[in-house]
Amino acid sequence: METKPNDSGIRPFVEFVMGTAISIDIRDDRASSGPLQQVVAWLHHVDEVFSPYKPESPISAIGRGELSFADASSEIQEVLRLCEQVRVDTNGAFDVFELPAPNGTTFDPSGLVKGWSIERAAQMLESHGFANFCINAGGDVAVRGHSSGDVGWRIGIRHPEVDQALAIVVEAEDRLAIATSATYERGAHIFDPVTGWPVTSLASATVIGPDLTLADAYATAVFVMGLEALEWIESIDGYEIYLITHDGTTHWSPGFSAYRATNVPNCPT
Amino acid sequence: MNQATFPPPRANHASPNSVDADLAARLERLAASRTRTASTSNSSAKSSSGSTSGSTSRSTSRTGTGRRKHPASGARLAALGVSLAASGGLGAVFYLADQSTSIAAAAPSGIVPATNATLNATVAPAAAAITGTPVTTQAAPATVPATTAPAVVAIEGVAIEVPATAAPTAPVVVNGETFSNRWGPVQVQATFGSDGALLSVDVLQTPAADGKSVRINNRAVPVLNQEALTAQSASIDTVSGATYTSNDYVRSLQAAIDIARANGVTQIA
Repeated sequence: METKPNDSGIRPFVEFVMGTAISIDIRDDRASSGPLQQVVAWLHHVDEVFSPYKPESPISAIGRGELSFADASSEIQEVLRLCEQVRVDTNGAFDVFELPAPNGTTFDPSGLVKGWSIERAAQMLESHGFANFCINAGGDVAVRGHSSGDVGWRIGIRHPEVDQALAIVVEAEDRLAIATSATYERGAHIFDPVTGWPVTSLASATVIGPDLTLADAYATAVFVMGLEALEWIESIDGYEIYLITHDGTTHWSPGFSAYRATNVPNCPT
Repeated sequence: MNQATFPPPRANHASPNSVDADLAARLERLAASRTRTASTSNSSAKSSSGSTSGSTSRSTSRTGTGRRKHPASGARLAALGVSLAASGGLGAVFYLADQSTSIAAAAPSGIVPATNATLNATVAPAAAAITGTPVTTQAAPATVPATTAPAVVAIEGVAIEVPATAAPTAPVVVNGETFSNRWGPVQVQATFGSDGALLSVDVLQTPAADGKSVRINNRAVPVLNQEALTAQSASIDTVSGATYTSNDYVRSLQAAIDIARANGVTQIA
């Protein structure tokens, strides 16, 4: 889409990159196109380096065993360390070395890279003085500040089986990230790293917490864990989950209730 | 999904140096397995198993046994099957919608009664919009929200561009920018009431070169209309959900929100 960076602070900006659409909604009074162009350049850089769909990308080279950890760039090393941290934190439910990758290898860090890159993009905007914005990267959301005044951001979580409906609405302010894993958009593409089989026990798994890097990766892990994630998440400070099973029942961690939005017609609360 | 348990994460994270060593070792094993796979591709696959343990391995196999050959290809096949099974229901719904037949009977089938009765209510008017006939669902309460509900869109000091020829009370039709997906050019058109309410979102310029394009875009058009109306009812700024592709963005609720925002609607209320 030939959208242009806006300078009004009102219009959202949409960039098609990393195989999806990334919507940036800045609510600060002042906004200029410079930071947005920097963010766009960053996102395309991430796509070039980390895409498992591109045979020439360094990530594909790592998957083929042609690029060692020591020879990888510092940002690749950073991502790999984060992947390892999440693997340990999730007891192997998230493991980027045990996945059927699009490039034919078994190495695919995409489950963390998108969230990581958006978190970085948010930091870029903050460094330029923006305090109130929302970035939606194909369904993974990072917000800062407020939508207007002291009103928090209202974020709908898509109903897993009725794509014109919402399952629930959460309200977020200051720094918060929301990531959802499910199979309704791209089929059963989430795999159990241990069994190697696609996972379908949940219809939708949403993680909410301060950092989209972790929320994104945790969402994948939680989807793999299934309802056992309700026990697991209690050991993770600052993160809450909301799960929907195929029979329509919903489950959430105790701390999730604090994020439920009020005054939501047509949504179960 | 297996019945593995996910105990709490380790209290002590490994030191950065040991993490790097582990990562380096895993990359080496990745390279070794690729080489071995290539050299033994025409011989017994079993001969390659059981020789991948590294000295610094901390792999968290939940089965406690050595890693087996990753069933990537099998997983892909299984994923395809599961995906078809999972999406078959909705696919049938949209197919029926394309044929302008009994979506009223098909639409609620994917919804679980009881806990999600209110969601049925949000589906019903959407189905009515497609068929043009009143719809009742078995689980929906009598208070089905009408698609002509009072406008409740908040405008924050931003005037909607009213075409010069339009009467003050006439709906305002705004065309989004045209972009191309792999089926051809697509343009999104939003219609606002005179009070700024987002009434509908339509897809224009749907290519009709072949049957496939027609089918896909017939699916996109009604879904967008339904999603925009649902967004109205939930007062949301953005949507979290499973990652959509660039091509699927056009039919996403987020696209409807973005175009509404791009036309000065600061909150879909």
